[in-house]
Amino acid sequence: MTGKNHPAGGAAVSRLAGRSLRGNRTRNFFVISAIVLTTLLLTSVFTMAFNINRSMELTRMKTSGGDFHGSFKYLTPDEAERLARHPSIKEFGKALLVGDAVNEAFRGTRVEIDAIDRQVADHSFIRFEDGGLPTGKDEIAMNTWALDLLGVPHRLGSEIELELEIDKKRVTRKFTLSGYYKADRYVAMSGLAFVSEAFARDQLSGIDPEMTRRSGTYTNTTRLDVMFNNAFGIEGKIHKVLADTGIKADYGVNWAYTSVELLENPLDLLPYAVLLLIIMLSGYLLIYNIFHISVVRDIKFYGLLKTIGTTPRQLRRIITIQANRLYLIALPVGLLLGYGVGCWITPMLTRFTGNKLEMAYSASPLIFAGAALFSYLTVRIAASKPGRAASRIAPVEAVKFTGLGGQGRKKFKRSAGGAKLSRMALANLFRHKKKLWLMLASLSLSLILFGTVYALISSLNVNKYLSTFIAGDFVVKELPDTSGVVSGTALTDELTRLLAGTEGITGVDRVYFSYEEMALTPGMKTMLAPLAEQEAPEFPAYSHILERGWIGTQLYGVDRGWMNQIQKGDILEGSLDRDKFMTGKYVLISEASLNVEGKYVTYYHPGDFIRLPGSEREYEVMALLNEQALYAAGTQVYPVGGFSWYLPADEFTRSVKEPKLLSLTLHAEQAGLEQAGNAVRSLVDAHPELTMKSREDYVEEMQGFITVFKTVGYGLSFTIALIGVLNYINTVITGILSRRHEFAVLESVGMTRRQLQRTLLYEGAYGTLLVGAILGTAGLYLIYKIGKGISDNMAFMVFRMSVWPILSAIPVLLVLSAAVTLAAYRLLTKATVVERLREAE
Amino acid sequence: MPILQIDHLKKYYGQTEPVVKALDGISLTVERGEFVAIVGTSGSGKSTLLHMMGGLDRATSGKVFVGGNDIFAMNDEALTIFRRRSIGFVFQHYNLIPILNVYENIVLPIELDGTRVDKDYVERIIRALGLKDKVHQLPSRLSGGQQQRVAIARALATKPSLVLADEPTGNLDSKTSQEVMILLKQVSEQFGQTIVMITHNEDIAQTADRIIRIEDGKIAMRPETSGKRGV
Amino acid sequence: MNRHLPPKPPRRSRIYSIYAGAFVLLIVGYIGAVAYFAGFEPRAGWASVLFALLLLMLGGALVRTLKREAADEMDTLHSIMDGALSGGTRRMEYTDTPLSSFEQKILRYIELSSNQEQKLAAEQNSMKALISDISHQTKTPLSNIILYSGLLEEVPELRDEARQYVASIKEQSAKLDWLIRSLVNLSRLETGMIAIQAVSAPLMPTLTRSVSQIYGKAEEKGIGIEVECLPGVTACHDPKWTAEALFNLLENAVKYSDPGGSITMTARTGEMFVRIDIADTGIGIEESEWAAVFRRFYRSPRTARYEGVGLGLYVTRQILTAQGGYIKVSSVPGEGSVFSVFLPVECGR
Repeated sequence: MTGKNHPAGGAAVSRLAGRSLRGNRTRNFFVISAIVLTTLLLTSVFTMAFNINRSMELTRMKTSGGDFHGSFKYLTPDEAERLARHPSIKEFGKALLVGDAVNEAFRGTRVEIDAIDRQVADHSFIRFEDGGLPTGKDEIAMNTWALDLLGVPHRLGSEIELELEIDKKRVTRKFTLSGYYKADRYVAMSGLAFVSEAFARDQLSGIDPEMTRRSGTYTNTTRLDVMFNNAFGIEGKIHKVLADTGIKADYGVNWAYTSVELLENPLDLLPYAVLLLIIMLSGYLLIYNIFHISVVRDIKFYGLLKTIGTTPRQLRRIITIQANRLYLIALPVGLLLGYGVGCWITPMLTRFTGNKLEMAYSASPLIFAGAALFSYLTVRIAASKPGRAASRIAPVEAVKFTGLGGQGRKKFKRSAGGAKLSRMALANLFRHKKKLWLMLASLSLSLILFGTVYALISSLNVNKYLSTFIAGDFVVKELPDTSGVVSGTALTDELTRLLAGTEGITGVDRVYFSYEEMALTPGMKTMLAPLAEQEAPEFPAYSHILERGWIGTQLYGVDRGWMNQIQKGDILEGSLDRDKFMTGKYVLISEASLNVEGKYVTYYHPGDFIRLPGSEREYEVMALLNEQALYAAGTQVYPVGGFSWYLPADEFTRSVKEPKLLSLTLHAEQAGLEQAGNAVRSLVDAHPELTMKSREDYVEEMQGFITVFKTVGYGLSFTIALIGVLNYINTVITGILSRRHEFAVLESVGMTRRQLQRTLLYEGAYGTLLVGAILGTAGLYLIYKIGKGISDNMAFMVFRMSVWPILSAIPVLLVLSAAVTLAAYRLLTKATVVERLREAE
Repeated sequence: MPILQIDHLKKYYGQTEPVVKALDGISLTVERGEFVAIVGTSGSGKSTLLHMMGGLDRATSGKVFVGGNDIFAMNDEALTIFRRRSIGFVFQHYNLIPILNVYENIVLPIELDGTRVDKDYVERIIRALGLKDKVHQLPSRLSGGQQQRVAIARALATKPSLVLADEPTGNLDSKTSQEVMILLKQVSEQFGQTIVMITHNEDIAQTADRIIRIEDGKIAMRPETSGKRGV
Repeated sequence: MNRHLPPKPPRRSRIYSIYAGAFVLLIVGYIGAVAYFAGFEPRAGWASVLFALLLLMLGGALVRTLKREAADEMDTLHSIMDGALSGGTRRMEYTDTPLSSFEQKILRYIELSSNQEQKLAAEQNSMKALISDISHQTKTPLSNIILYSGLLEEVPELRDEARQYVASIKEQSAKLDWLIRSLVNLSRLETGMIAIQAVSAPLMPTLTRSVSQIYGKAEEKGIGIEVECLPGVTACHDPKWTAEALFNLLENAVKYSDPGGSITMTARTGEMFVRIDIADTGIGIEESEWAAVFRRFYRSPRTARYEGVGLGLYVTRQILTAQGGYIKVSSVPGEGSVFSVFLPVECGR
C-alpha cells in the first residue's frame, strides 16, 4: 500500500486532467468567465470597503488637521527641542503660534497665524497651488477661501492687508502673498495663515511663552507635532516621552488614529459580509452548474476511467485539478478588473452616503489576497460536488451502449391511458418530486426577488424625497456656524420682503421658530415616570427630565403654503381644517418624542387647550401630527421627551417673544424660474451667513443617488434572476442527458425521435406553467407585501406595484425551456451518432 | 486454486413482477492459463455475467472469487484498485481514452497505480501486437482492429490475473476479427494469461480451449469441449 | 477464501498534520512576540512575514524531497521485482544498502522456484531425448530389414506363398520406416535440435515448392491443384519448414479426397497475418473433431480405412506455432475441408 496521504498515480491523474481541459474549450471558457465574474465582484467589494475606509481615515485626519500621530502643545523652544530629541520620535515639526487675523471680513471665522516649518505643512495636507511657505518678513501664505473673503486675487505677490491680534495687541500689517493653498472651510477647525520665521522673531521677540501660557493667549508657544514608529498606543508613547524628558506639557493625540475603523463596529461590516455571501453564492451556482453539466455529459468517460481502475479519489482529483488550473487563469483578470470597477464605483457610493468624503484609494495587498481567497473557496466548493458525483459514477456506465440494450431499468412510467404524449410528459415531470420542487422553489424565489427589487426601484419617487427637504422652488436658510448653531438672526423680515418682491416669485412661506422650555404637567409626569424607571442607568434621559422639571418644545410658525405639505397619513388624531387653523385660535402639535415601541404617545389630544410657554395665550389643539410631518420645515432635531407646536406664522409673530426666522420657501413661476433663481441667488449671496438651495439642486443630488441605486438595484435583480434561470437550465439539461438510457429504451419500444422531442417540450412547458402559477399567486402577493413594507419605511419611495417584469418572465421561460430542451436533445443524439460512426470505423 | 470461481450467481432486475432474471444461479470455475469462451444469444445474460466477473456491477446474490478474493466484499475504492491491478478488460467498442495516445492508454492502469512502468515488458506487448509504429498516435486515427489491439495491450500491461473480453470482435469485420482472435490467443499463451471471452459468434468461440454455453441466465447442459490447449 | 489482510499502517497523515500545525503555531507565535516587542513597526512585520513564508517554502521543499526519495526507493523496489521476474536480471549493484540485499533475496527465491521448473523441463527433455535415441537406434535395424526383404524379393526360386509373405513384410517395414522417420523428425523438432529460422520472404516460392512435391501423387489420383497468390505477397516464415508443413496439408487433402476432386490453395494478406487456405473436396471433418485432429496420434474413426499415423497435422501445427503462426480448420463432412494457415506478415514480433 502506498503512503496514505500522497495520492498514487499523481502523474497519470494530472495528465488526464490536463488533456481533459484541452478537449473542453467551450466549457473552459464559461468556467473562466464565471470565475472572472466572481473574482471581479469580490475584488470590487473589497476595494470599495478599503477605499471607503481609507477615505474616511483621510477625512478624519483632515478634520483633525493633519496626519501627525500626536502633538505637544504650548511649549517653550527649549522644551520643544528636548522633546524632539527623544529617540522614539521619528519625525517632528514645529509650529509657532503668532496670533490671529481679525479683519472685518473674518468676522465669525477664526484665522490663526502661525509660523510653521516644512514638516508641519506636509503633514497638514497643505498643498500649495502656487508658491510656498513664506521666507521673507513680509511674506504670508494663506488659503483660498480666506483670500476670497478678503477679496484678494489668487496670485503670488498680491498685496494683503491684515489686522493682527498678537497677544492681545492689535497691529496692522501689509503682506505679499508667498503662496496659497486650497482648504476646506468647514472641515478644519479654523483657517490658518502662515508667516515666516523672520516675521515671528521680529514680532514675538519680547513675548515670553511661559507667560502667555499662563495668560491664556499662548502667543509664541511652540507646538511640536510628532510621528512615532507606528500608530499603535500613541498616548502611551507620548506619556513615555514626557516621563523620560521630565517635561510637563499639554498634548494631543490624533484621534483619527484612535480607532481601527473597520473592526470598530462589527455591524458596519454586516452589509459587506452579506454582499460577499451573495456574490460567492451566485458564483458557486454558476460554476457548479457548468461543472455538473460537464460531468453528466462525460459520464461515459468517467465510467471508463473507473473501469480501467481510477479510484473515486483520483476521479475527484481530476476535477479539482481542472478547477484549480482554470482558477489560476481567471484570477489575475478578475482581480485587475475588479479593482478597476471598485475604484470606479466608490466615488458614487460616497456621494450616496451623504458625508462629504475625500476620495482616497487603497491598494492594500489585503484586497487582492482576500478576494483571491474567497474566490478560491467558491471555486473549490463549487467543483467539489460535481467531483464527488464523478467519483461515484458506476464503471458499468462505460459499457452501457446508449443505443439499444440495457435491461429494463424500470423507471419510466407506462401511462395506462394510452400513450398520449402530454399526459406522459406530465407524469414524467412528477416522477422526481424532490428535484421538481427544488427547481421550482429556487426559480420562483429568484424571480420573486427579482420582481421585488424591480418594484422597489420603480417605487423611487423623487418628489417624495424632495418633499422632505424642500416644499417650493427655492429655500433660503441660515448656515450653521462652525459649532452647528443657528443664530436665527440672519433672516430678517426685510429680506423676506425683498425676496418676495423679486420678479417671478409668486409666494413666500415663512417658518418661524422658537425653542421653549415647558414645565412638566402632572399628566406628563405620569407618562414619563415608567419610562424613567425602565431606562438604562448610563442614559438617564428621562430621569433627567423629571429632575429638571421641563421638556423642550419646538415652536414653529408656518405660512399657509405649508399646510399643503401635511399628508393624510401624517394626521394621527383629529382633522385638519385649513381655514380654521389660519384664524390663529388653533395649534397643531406633534407626537411626543418618547421612545415607546409600537405606537405613538402624546401629552395632549385634539380638543385640549394648551398654554404657550412664556405667555398667557391658550390654543385649542386641532390635530395631532406624526413626528415626520412637515419634516422639511423643521430643524430635524427632536429633543427627548419634547414635542412640536405649529401655529400660523402671523399668530406666531404676535405671541412668541423672540420669533426667529428659520427658513423662507419661495415659490416661483415656472416660466421665469431661471431668472427668478438667479435674482434670489444674488440677493442671498450678499449675505454670507445665508444659503440658498433650489429644487434643482436637490433634484441633482437625488439624481446621482438614484443612478447609483438603479445601477446597483437593476444589476442585483438581474443577477438574481440570472442565477435562478441558470439553475433552471442546468436542471433541464442534466435531466435530459441523464435519461439517455431511458430514451434509448423508448426508442426501441417504438417512439420516434419526433415524439420524444415533443414529450420533452411538453415537460418543459408544464414546468414553466407551474412556476407561472406559483409566481402569479404567491409571487405577486409576496412582492406586494414586501415591497410595500419596505417602501413605506423609506422616505423617498411610493410603492408602485410593477407586475410586468415578473409576468414577462413566463413567456421568456417558455421560450428558454423549449430552446434548451431542443439543444440538449440535439447534443444527446449528436453524441450518439458520432460515437456510432467512430466505433464502426 | 482456480483463478476464477463463481458460486450461484444471481442478478435480478426489479422488485415487482415481471422480475427480469438476467442471471439465474450460475456456477463455474476457470483454471489458470485457460482460454474460455462463453457463448450465448443476445439477452442470454452473458454480458451481465462478464460485468459481474469484473466487478463492474453488483449481484443480487452469489459470490465471485478472483484469485481467491471475494469481489463483492470489497468497497468501491478497494474494488477499483483490485480491478486496476488484477483484471484486464477488452470491450466490444474498444473504449480507449480518446484524449490519450496509444502508449499512454496502454500504461494508464500502471500509472494510476503510481508504480514504475516495466518498459521492457510493455515493449514486448507492443511488439507482439504489432503496434510499434503507432505508439504516439491518438485512438481516433486508428482503425477498429488497431484500436482493439491497443485495448488488448492495455489489458495485458498490468500482468493481470484475468483478462475479460466482451465481444472483442463484435465491431470488426470478419477478416480483422480473425486476426484479432489469433493475436489474442497467441499473446495469452506467450504472456501466460487467463482469458474469459463472451461472444455470440460460434466461429470465434472455436479459438478457445473451452466453450461454456449460456441460455436464459443459466448454463446450458450440452457438454462442450473443443480440447485442451497444447499437448 | 479471503486472504488475511495485514494490519493497516498507522495514519501517518494525521501525524504529519500535527507536525505542520505545531510548526505553523511556532512561527506565528515567534512572529507575534517579535512584533509585540518591536512595537508593531510595519517593516518588522513584513520582514517576519517574509521570513515565515520562506521558512515554510523551504520546509515544504524539504518534505517534498523526502517524499520523492521514498517514492524513488519504492520505484527501485518495483524495478528489482520486474527484473527478477523477467528472467533474473540484476538491476542493482552490490552495495551495502537494504535494497541491494533485498534484491539478493528476491533473486535467490526466483532461482529456487525456477529450479523446480527447470527440473521438470529437464525431465521432459530427457524423455524426448530417449525417444530420439530409440528412433535413431531403430533406424539401422529397420533399414536392414527393408534391404533384406528387398533382396529376398529378388530371389527367383521363391514360391508364390513365400512371395506374398515377403511383400507383406516389405509393406509393413515401409510403414514402420515412415513412422520412425516421422517420429525422428518430430523429436528433433520438439527438442529444438532443428532450428526454424523465420525470415521475411516472398510466399510464392514456398507455395510452389510444397505443391511441386505433391503434384505427382495428385495427378495420379486425378485431383486438380490450383494456387492463387499475388506475386508480391511476403510473410515471415522459414521457407523450407513452411513448405514441409504445407506439404503435409496437401498430402492429407489428396489422401482424403476422391478422384476427380480439386484442391485450391489461396493466399491473402491481412494486416497482421497472411492467410493461406487449403480447400479440398474430401470427406470432411466433424465439428466435434476440429480441435482434436491436431493432436498427436489422433485418428478420426472416419479415416479408419486410410493410411496414416496421426502425426501430420500435429507436426504442421508445431512448425507453424514456432514461426508465430496459427492453423485452424473448418469443414462440412461429405463436402470438403478448409485448412487456414496464418503466418505473420512482419518478423520481429
